[in-house]
Amino acid sequence: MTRARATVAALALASGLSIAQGADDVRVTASVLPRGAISETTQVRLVITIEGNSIPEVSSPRLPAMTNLTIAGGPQTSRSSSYAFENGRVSASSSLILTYFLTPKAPGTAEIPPFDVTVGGTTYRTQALHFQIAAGRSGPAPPGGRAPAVPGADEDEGAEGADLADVFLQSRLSATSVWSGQALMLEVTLYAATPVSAFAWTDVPSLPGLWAEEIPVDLERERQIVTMNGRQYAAYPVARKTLVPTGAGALSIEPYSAQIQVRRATRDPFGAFFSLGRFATLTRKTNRLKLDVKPLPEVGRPPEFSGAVGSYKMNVTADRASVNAGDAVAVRATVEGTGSLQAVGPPKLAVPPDVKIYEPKLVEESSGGPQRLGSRKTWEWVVVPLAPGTLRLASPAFAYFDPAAGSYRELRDDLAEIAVLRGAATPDLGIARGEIQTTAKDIAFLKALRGSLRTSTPPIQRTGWFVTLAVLPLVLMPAGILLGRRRERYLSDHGFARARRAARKAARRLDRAAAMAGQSSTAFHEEVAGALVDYVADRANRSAAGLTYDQLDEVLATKGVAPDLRRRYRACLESCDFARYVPDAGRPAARTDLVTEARAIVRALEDVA
Amino acid sequence: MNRTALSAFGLIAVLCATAARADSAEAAFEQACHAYDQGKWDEAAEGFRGVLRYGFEDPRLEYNLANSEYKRGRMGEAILHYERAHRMAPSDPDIVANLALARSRIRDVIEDPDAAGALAGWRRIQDRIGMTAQAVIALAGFWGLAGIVTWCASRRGGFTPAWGWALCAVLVATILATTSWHATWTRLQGTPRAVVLHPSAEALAGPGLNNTSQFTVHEGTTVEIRAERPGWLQVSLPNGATGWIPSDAAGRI
Repeated sequence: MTRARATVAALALASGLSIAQGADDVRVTASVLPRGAISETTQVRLVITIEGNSIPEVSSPRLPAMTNLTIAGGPQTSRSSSYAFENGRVSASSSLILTYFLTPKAPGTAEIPPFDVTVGGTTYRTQALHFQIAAGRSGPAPPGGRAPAVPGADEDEGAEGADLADVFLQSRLSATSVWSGQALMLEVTLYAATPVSAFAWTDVPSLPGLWAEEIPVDLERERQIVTMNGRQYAAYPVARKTLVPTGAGALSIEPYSAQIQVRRATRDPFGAFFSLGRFATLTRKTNRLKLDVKPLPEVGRPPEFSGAVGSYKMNVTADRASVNAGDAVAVRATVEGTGSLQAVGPPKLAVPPDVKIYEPKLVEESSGGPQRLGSRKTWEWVVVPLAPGTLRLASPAFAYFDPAAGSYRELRDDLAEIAVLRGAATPDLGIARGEIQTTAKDIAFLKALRGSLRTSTPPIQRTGWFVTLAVLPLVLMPAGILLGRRRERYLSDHGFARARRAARKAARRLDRAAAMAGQSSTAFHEEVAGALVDYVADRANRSAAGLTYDQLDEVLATKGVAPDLRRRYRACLESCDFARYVPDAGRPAARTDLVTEARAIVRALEDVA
Repeated sequence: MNRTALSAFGLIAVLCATAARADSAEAAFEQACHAYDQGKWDEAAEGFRGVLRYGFEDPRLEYNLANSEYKRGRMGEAILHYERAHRMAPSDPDIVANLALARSRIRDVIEDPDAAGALAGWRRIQDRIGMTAQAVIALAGFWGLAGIVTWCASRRGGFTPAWGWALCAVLVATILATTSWHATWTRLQGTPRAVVLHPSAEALAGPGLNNTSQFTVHEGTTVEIRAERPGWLQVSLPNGATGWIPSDAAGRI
């Protein structure tokens, strides 16, 4: 499938060139630049050139795994066309150049295996490329005389490589031996004797054992011209950091590395006049730095010491000279000087009696300054005097370690007295300002056993009393409605009420009569007769007064009472009347029979009407 | 005579046994608390578990057992017993807080769409009132309704506007109380739930190992039980995902 018909010349191989030619006059060439010696700091370019009368669509080639090389970027593409007049005919040719940027891994042999390039559906295979990588050089300018040819420089430009060697990176610490916590400066400077057009970091090391703060740099403003070994260099501060050792011991700062694009000087007078020239990309590394960090002495360490190492001064102020009791005064302490205050806590402020002091708050923090190692911090306390009088606050104490003297020092500043007046408001002693911070979260504690342990209980809806109470209204409601309506009728219908009560009333009177059976005959018979007459009057809702036998009989007839019962009723009444007027007529036994007969008559009437 | 004596003897024996059981259970409870105080979490957990075997259903017992399991780092068991305690005493703030803390320590985070906003606030109110109180309120409302209907129906004037409004108010209150009580019951007791006890459990599409794995639940996740088969539980998550897990991988709340 592959139509590679590569024709590779021995010369091309020797110079790191491989050529593959197709039948349709398309030529695919792979080469490595620079052509001269290559060091481990050189950026290698793999250039794939596709030439032909016309170049159809080209697929981006997939580069193979390479020996001792990694791909740093690419491909960059460029196209060109040319026309030739030959024997009156015009012939056109085009070229497409794909450039990959490769980075050597280590000194030794590098190899780019053959790989395929597809042009217009036809695959062309390149030849393998081999070349040697020499050890590179990093570090400062050469010690004397003119800078020698640097292996790390691009030397594909022949003799002009010497100019390119005058580009190097240098890292420098402001001190090589410091105390733990003492701030120092790390600067990385790019020295270039030729114009620099681009700069990019390729490796920025981590800094274990060091707290680092980046300090911004301005390449143009801070650029300096320095003369070293009789040669002028432009010095660019490309990185600057404040470092603070967090422990003690020997530390190592690994090299920084960067790619620098410089304009190569040309000896062509026309090129020089028109500032023409070619660009070269260089890789440069700094040297490895050593730092010795001494531990802070334990002897003489004041209790107020919180880690400040350097040289400082402190200023303490209050925002007012007099205050009402219960009102707040802001006390500020500003510590500034040379050294890092990044991890330093506030000074200690003693709390006098009758004064409430809240936790200090950091209100300002800055670093830098002319020496770039300066720093400043301001803390504020809210002080609330609780009683009138004179508030004398002891100055906050700030302790630090002075690296120059190798000993600890303590700062105090006088604080003016504050007059505390008797204010109108009562000081609020119970309310603390500031939020309570939860430091940790854990489960709530066990529950104690108060009372006995509970056994399983059925849910309320399954208990008998609940079910009964839920059903009961359904039963009680109809009954309640009936009773209510009856009561309403009793209250509103007098005749109905009389009729409903007639039997009970008659029964009560007959009971009373029975109780009087052994006593007065008149009273007994009057009671029996009254019970019978009142019963009928109540049932008919008529007045009992003046009712004759005939009228009573008529009423009973109206109610549908049978004649026999009416006769019994009349006979009973007549017996009572007779006995009332003939007191000795009724014997006790006859009286009992009379009451029994009267009760039977009432019951019979109750059943009828 | 002999039968009466035997009955009395039996009753006394039962009472004595019950009292002895309560005494020994409470002693075991205190002993487990003491072990917990001394940081002997394993011993405390076993002690509380032993008290549970007496048949008690006490939220304090479940809560203390959950605390012991939490300290042992067994979040699944801890959440299971916190859930049981919460079911019995939903308004207890310690149980609610510890359950939330234990849930924050498990791997699965499953958002309950109903557990936020006004509904969450309403649930807190329901828990604070309690199921029994809601039932009593509903019952009182029912009695009130019956009383008003009876009174108005037995009067000559019938339902006056004032009594009509009163009836509507009591009716609405009764419906609300009954609905709330039912919802609380369904939430806490009515829906069978379980807590995953294994470090992880594959939820399969069906009750058998030959089914496709749908998702994985991890220890401490609370799931609803939708169905059961021998050895398998069909569970669902608040987000609607459903699958079958081995029944020994979860503990029923």
